[in-house]
Amino acid sequence: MNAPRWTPELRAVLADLLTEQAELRLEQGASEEQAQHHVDTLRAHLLARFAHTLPTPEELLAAAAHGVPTPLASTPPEEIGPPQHVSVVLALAGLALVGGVLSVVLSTYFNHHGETPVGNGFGVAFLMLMVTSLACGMVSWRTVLGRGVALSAGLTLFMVLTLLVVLNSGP
Amino acid sequence: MTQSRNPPVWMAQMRKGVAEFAVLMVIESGEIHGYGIYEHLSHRDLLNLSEGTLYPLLARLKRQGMLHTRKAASPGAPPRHLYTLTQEGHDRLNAMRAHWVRLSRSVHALDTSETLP
Repeated sequence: MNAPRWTPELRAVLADLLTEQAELRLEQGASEEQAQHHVDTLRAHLLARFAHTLPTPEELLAAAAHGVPTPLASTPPEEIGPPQHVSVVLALAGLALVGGVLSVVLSTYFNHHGETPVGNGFGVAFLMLMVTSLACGMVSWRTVLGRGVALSAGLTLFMVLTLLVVLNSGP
Repeated sequence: MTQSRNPPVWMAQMRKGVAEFAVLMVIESGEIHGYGIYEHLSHRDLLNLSEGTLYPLLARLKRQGMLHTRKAASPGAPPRHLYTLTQEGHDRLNAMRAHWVRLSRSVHALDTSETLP
């Protein structure tokens, strides 16, 4: 199927739209190269979005407003990094995960050596830390690290609880 | 031999160097829309700029006070942005013209003196 040809009127609307986007980027402190990258990304996105059906000017503007690639997509990969608050949450999730794993090891150790109260204390710490890690991981789910931490915490929690149930359900 | 789709770096740099000069010259000829500038330059050998280069350049020139924009009604479409040169834009263009003449004269003189016995 042949792609529809964009009319000069539509190209003019696109031109104004892209220029406004470039202005916005420059006002936000981006360099001209960054603005060029954004304009190229947005243009490619819109051309792909309307590759088979020509949009009306309103549809084009709406697509640009709603379908503008997120900063992740419009920023060169080398400049991508999670926002600062996400980094803090991620660090917290990672620490809680490590602490949780340590707690379960210590809990097992103390219980094995007859120090049940201490072992149980570490058991409770394990539960709290894993839940914290799971929650923080889910809050930062949009990042790869966040998903990784949440899944690891959830899996560890599930395995340990299953193990406890199995061990305690014996005759 | 396969030819790369992108021009060599030196060629792109030379074109980038004159892009602003070319855009100001096009706008000097009369009030014009951004897409009109793109179309105008796309028919000029070696001066065709991509939209990704042209529109941010227009945005920068506007921010620098070289261009004045006016919104003109367009039937069935949002108002269009039409560009004209401000006095500062005219001054910049004239300075560029003078510089270009000196630069091309120097390059030509250098080239001629090197190739002549």
